[in-house]
Amino acid sequence: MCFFEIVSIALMFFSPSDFDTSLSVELLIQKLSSKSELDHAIARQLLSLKNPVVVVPKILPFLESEDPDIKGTTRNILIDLANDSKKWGGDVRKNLSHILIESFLDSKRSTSAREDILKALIFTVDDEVDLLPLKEYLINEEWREKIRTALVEANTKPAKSLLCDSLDVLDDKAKSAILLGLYQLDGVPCEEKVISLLSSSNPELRASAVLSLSNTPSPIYAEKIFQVCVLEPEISDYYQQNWDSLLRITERILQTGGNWSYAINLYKKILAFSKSQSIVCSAIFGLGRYGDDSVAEFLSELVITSEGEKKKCAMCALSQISSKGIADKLLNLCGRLSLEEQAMLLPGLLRENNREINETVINILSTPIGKEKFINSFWEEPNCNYLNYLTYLDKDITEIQRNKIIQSLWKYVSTNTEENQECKGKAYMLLYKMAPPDEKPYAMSGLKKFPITEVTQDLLQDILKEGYDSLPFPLLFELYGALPNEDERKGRLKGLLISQIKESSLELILSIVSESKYLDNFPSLAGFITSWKLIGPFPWSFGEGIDSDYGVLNAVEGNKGVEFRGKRFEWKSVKTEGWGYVNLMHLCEGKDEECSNICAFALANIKITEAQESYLLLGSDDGYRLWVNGELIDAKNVDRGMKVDEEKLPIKLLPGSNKILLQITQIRGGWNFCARLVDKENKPLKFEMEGN
Amino acid sequence: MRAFMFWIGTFCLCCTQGTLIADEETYLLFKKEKIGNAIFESASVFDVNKDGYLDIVSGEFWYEGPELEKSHRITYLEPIDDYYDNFSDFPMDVNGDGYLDVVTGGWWGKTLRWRENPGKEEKNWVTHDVEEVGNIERCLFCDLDNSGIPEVIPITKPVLIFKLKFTENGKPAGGFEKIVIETEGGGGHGIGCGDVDGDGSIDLVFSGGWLKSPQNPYDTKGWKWFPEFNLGSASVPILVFDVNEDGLNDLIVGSAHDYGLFWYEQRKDGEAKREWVKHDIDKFRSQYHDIQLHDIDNDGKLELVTGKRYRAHAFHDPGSKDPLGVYYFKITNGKFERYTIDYGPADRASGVGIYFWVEDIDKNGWKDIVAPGKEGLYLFRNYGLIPK
Repeated sequence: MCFFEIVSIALMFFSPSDFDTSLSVELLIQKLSSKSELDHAIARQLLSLKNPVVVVPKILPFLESEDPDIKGTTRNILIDLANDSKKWGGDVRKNLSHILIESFLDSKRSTSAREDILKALIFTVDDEVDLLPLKEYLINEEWREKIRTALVEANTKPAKSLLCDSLDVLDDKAKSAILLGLYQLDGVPCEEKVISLLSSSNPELRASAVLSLSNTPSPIYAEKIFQVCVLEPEISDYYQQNWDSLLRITERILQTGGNWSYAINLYKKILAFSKSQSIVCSAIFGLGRYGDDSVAEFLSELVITSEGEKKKCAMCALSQISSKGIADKLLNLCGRLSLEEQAMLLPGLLRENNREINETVINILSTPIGKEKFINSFWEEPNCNYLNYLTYLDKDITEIQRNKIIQSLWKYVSTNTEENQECKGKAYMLLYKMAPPDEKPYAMSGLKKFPITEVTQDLLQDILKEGYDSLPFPLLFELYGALPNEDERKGRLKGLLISQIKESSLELILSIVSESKYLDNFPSLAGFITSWKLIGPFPWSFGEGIDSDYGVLNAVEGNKGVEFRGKRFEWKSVKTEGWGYVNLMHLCEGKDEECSNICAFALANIKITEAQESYLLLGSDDGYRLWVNGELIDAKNVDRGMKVDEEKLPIKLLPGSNKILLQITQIRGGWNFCARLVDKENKPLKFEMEGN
Repeated sequence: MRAFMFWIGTFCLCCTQGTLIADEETYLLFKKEKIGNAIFESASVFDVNKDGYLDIVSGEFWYEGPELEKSHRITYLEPIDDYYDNFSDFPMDVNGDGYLDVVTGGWWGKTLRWRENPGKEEKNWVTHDVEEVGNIERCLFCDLDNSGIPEVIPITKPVLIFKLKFTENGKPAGGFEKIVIETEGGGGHGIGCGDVDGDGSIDLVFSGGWLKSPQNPYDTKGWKWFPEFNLGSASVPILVFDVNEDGLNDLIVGSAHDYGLFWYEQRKDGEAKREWVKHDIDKFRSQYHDIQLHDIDNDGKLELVTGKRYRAHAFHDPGSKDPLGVYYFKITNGKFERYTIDYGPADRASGVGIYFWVEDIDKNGWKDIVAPGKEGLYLFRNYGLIPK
C-alpha cells in the first residue's frame, strides 16, 4: 500500500484535526518516531510546512534509524523542506545550507545519511553559499562521484569553481570524471584549464576534455577539438568518441546559428580526415540536413567520386537538401547513375515538379527498388508531388506496399497543412480508388470538402447518384465538364456553377480550376470576353502617362489599320488563354527582352439583348484605359501584376452591339489582361461575341 | 606505450601531412542572439538615451544597451496582416535637441514621418507627419550635397527629396524642406544613390534608369534621366560600386520579390553609349530586399552584406518558402564569394527584413549585424576571425 493510499483511507476515518497545522514541531517529531504509518504521514505533511532551519536539525538523527519507514519518511521530509526553502527567503535558505553542510561534514554520521543530506543540499545552495568545505570529498575516491553529481546539479558559481579547482589536484582518472561532470553544465567554466587538457598525453583525459567542450556551440572550441581528432591515432580507444564530440559541436553550432559557413566547412573537414565510416556518414548526413545549393554541389561530386557506403550516404544526404536549384543538380547526377542508384535521389527529385523530373521519376519507378524507395519516402515525407505518380504504381505492387500507400495517404490528408487544397482533393480521390470498401465513405466525405482536378467515370456516377446541389465548385465544375452536352443535368449544373461564381472570390476559384482538363468551359461560365482584336505594340513609357491613342481610336470602326512613326499596324484576332486572360506578350514575337515600355490596344465587339446596369471586371498588367462605345470610362497608369477582378468599372451597354476598347501598357515583365462582364448582382452577364 | 604512440603519430603526421591540417579558409565568428520576438522589419542602432551605450531601435520598441535586455516603448503601430507601417528607422536629430530621432515611412500610411525622441523621459515618442507622398517601399537616406547630413528620398514619382531644415544658428529646425525634381524618370521598385558617371556628383538610380545629378542637386530642372536599364523589382538600396575595379561604377541589385542577386557592369568606351551588362551573383535565393556594403571582416575592402526578407509578400513571391539566410559576399575583381552567417527555416534561422543595420554595437572593433524581420529581431555579434 503506498503512502497516498494510506492517507486516503485514513482521511475517511479521522477528523481534519489530525492534520492541524498548529501542531508543534516537537509533537510532529514524536509522530515521526512512532510506529504508526498514519503518524508518519501526518509528520511528513505538517513538518514540511514548518521553518526548515528549526526542523532539519531535529529530524537528521532519524536518518540513522533502523526502521526503514522512519528513515524513508525522514528522507522525504528533508527533501521537501530543502525544495521549498526558496519560499522562506534568503537568510533561512542560507542558514539551512550551512546546517546541511555542517551535518554532511560530520563523519560520525552514516554514509547513507550523508548521501541524503547531500541530495537535500543541492536544493538550497545559490551563488552566495561557499562549498569549499566539500573539496576534500571531491578528492576522496569514495565520495568523488556523489559530490561531482551534486555540484553539477547545484550548478552554482561556487559549485563550478570547486569542480574546476579540483582539476589542479586530482590524478588523470579523477580529472576525467570531473570533466564528465563539466560536460553536463551550460557553458564551460575554467575553459583555459579544460583546453590545456586537450594536449594531455593521456588519451582518456584528452577525450574527456573534448567531451566537456563539445556541448557549447563555439567555433573556437570546435577548432581545438578538430586538432585533437586529427592527431588522435586511429587505434586509440577514444578515436571514435573524439570524432563523435566534433560532430556534436558542429551540429550545435548549426542549430544555434551565426556560423553556418564555418560549420559546413567543418563537416567537410570531418569527412576528409576521419577514418571512421560511421563518422564520415554522419558528417555527410549533417551536410544534407543543414546544407544549401552549394553543399548540393559538393555532395554531387562526392556521389561521383565515392564508392560503397560513402556514396550511399552522399545520395541520401543530397535528397535531404531542399534549396532551389537542387532538382537540376539531381537530374544531372541521375544521368551518371544506375536506375537503382537514382532511386536514392527520389525524395530530392520529388520536391519539385517539371517534365524532366517526371520522366526521370517514371523511369525510376520501373524498378523494384525505385517503387520501394518511393513508397517509403512517401510515408516519411508526403508531399503533393508524389500523388501524381501513384497511378503508375497501382499495378505491380504487393499487398503490403499497397496498404502502406493507403496509410500514407490517410496520414497525408490528416496532417497536411499545404495551402494548395487541390492536393488534398487528389489524395482523397486516390483513397477512394485504392482504399478498402469500409474506408471509401470516409474518402468520399473528404472528396466533397476538397477540390480535385480529375473525376473518374465511376466516381462521377457515384456522386451524381447522391445528389450534387451542395457540392463545392471544383467538383461541380468537373462534373459539368465530364457530362455529355445532351445530358439534361448539365443545365442544372451550369446554373449551380454560375450561382457560385457570383457568390465567391474568382481568384480562389481560379486557383482550383486552372489545372482542370475542362478549363475551356470556364471563361464563358464566368462571363469573360474571350475574343479580341489586338493592335500594337506602340512605344510608350511610364513617365509620359497614358494620353496618346496613337490614332487607334479612329481605327476602331471598320477595323482599319494604323500608321504610326512610319510603321504600319494591323488588327490581329486572338482568343483568351487558360481561364480567360489575354497574353499580350505574343505581340513581341518572342523577343521578351524588347517587350518593355510599350502599349497595345484590344477591341471586343459584344452583343446583348437588353440594356442593363453592368460592370466590367478588369485585371491588367500593367495599366489601362477603357472606352465603351467610344466613351472614355477609366484610366490607370500603374505598375502591377494582373489580378483577376481587380477593377470593377460601371459601364453602360446598349441593346445590340457594343464596342469595348482597352489600352494596356507594359513597363516590364508579364503583359496581359482579363476582362469579364457581370450584372449589378455580380452574376456573369449573358452576351454574344460578335464578328471578331 | 599509447602516449608514446600518440606523440610519434603526431610527429609523423605533422612531418608528412602537416599541410593537410592547415586550413586556408578563414571565417568570422558570430554569436547569434535573439533580441525580441516582435516582427517589425526595420531596425537601426544608435544611442537613444545618450548614456554612452548603443541601443537597438526596431518598430515599436528600443532595446537598451549594452545588455539589450530591457525594452522601452516608442509608439504603437497598427498591424496590417503581418506587416507594420514602418519600413525604416533612420536615426537623425530632426529637432536639434541633441537626441537622435527616427525617420520612417511605410506602404499603407503613404506618409513620411519622424518620431521625436523624448530624451530621458520614459514616454511614447510623438510622431510627426512630414508629408503624404504615396506608398513608401522604404526610404533612401543619401547625402546628396555632401553636407554630412543625409537627405531623405522616398521612392515616389515624381522624385522628391526631403532636406532637413536648419535654423539660422545652424541647428536642426524640426522639419524638412521638400524639393521636387522635374524629370520624367523615377518611380518603380528600388532606389539607390552614387556617382554613376564619375563626375563627382551623387546620382540617383531607379529600377528603370538613373538620374544624373547636376552640380547643385537642388537645381530641380538640372537632373537628367537616362533610362538605360530595367532592373525589375529591385532592392532598396541599389548599390553603386566599382565591382570589377575598372574605374567605372557598376550597380549591385537584389531581386526584392523574386529570385536573384545581380551586378550590372557599366561599360563605356570614351564617348560611346553606356552599356550595362548583367551578371549573376546568386540565382538560387530570393527576396534580397536590402543590400549594403560594409567592411565586415576588417580587411580594408567592402563586402556585400545582405539576406532574405522573409514573407516580403506573404508567401506569394517566388522562393518565399525557401530557407532564410544572412550572408556576406567578398568581392574580388568582379567575383563574389558567398559566406553564409545564418541559414535555415524560419523557426531556426534569420533573414534581414526590409531595413537592417550594421554597426559595432559592443565596440570590440568588429561590425555586428542587427537583423529584423517577421522571424524575429536578431543580433549577430561579430568577434572577428576564428583563430586557427
